[in-house]
Amino acid sequence: MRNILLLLLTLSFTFASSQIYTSRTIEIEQGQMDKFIEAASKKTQMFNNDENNFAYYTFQILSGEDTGKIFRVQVGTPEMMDAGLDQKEANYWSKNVGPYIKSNSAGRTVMWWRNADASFVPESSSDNDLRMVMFYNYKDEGEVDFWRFRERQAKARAALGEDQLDSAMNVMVCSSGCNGNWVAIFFSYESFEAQRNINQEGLPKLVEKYNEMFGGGSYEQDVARVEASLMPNGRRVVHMQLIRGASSN
Amino acid sequence: MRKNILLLALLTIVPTIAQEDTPQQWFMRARVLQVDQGDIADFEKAVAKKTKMFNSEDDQPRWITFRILSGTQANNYLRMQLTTDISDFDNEDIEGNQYWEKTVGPLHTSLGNRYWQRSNWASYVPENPKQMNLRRIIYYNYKDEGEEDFWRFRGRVKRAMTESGYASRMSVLVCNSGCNGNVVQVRFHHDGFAGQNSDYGEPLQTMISKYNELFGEDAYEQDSGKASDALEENGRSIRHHELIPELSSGW
Repeated sequence: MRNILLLLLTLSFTFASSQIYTSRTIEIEQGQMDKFIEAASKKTQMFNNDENNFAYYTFQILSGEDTGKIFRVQVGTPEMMDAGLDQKEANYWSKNVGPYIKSNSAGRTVMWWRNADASFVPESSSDNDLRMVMFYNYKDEGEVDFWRFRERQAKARAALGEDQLDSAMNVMVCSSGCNGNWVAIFFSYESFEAQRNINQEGLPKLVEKYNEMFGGGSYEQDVARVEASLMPNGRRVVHMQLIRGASSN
Repeated sequence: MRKNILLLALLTIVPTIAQEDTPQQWFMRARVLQVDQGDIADFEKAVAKKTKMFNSEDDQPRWITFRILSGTQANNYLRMQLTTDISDFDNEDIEGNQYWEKTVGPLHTSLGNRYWQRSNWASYVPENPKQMNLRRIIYYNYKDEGEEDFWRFRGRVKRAMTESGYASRMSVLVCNSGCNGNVVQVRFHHDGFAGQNSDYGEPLQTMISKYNELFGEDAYEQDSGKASDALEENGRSIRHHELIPELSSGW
């Protein structure tokens, strides 16, 4: 990882200006999902729509080994992290949502930061609730190849103009809680059908734009380098559905 | 681990002649304590009481407790005994342990145990250090053949921190028992997450500039690259822990 320190420096600057995204997986008691969503929604709307408090985003996991569980993401500033959860809020969660939860922290808790240079969010995608999340685990020595493609893709998406895809791309980098170099890319879609349509009609335009910007054949070359940069089984895809009620506005 | 003997020699001999800020050897043993969510309040209360009774005087065993903030053990605890006399590990605190088993035992499950030794040679303590409760911990697992590259970087970082007047601690602990492979943890002390942000701004850049000034242009990038190449696959894991003073012996 020749350039890891360059990345760490980048992280350092990012730390200073960004929010901390902390994700955990929640296991719900059998048959209690509806009640959980109702209670979590009420709690979130009561406590988490204030810019001075943590925001939360709640997803139902649709595929993979955690299918049926909840992926809940806390978003806050470092100062909020240091202050910790408000006790009244925590007590409310325990009393009102807790009874429907089998495990409040099943699996791994991860802190993420958002790589803005590798992300792109078109205005049109704001109402999309479906997420395809690609988790990548890359080798130290593949760092440059991995990030070249990610940043170029963000630039190509931003340059699509009228051909813009109705899909946001948020690139999250694990800063604590992972083993190795992990990145999660959240692609938003209106639906599975919309995802298929974008893959069939939109992606060829993106590839064309990419090659126009970075050289003929560059998309294919860069993708091949990314493939080589990954650890064995270093890519997994999971779908999630945003639960709007149980998420901050 | 064919060079481990050399490393152990480095860790045990070099510090005694090279270390000025912390001449003592420090030994630790640490285990994870898993606690059910519903038992957290009772657990913390019981640990605080036990620590106050059995671990608050100079002649009593010193234990510190961390809340684990990330990873698969998030929301559980890490309890670590520290000593400068390794024979303390031979002399169990029978009374304290019995009290622990009786009061805290039913509230947790203990996982594993690892023995660590502080590498004074690679650890850094600033002048007038103050207690900071957040730890950003990087666990490394390096290849046998990468030992020299790994430790060169660590030693040089310590020297660059010293000469640049870096303001926060960096403790480097080497796993002596309970680990698979060559496992080292580097513990960066921060004054909360806001303090972490500050530390990774100008102080880090100043340290890197000092590093390059001391060891040559681009030395930091080159050495850190070699240290990364020295690692096993996925040989770097980052975790955050928070010291809980009420559940710990005094600073």
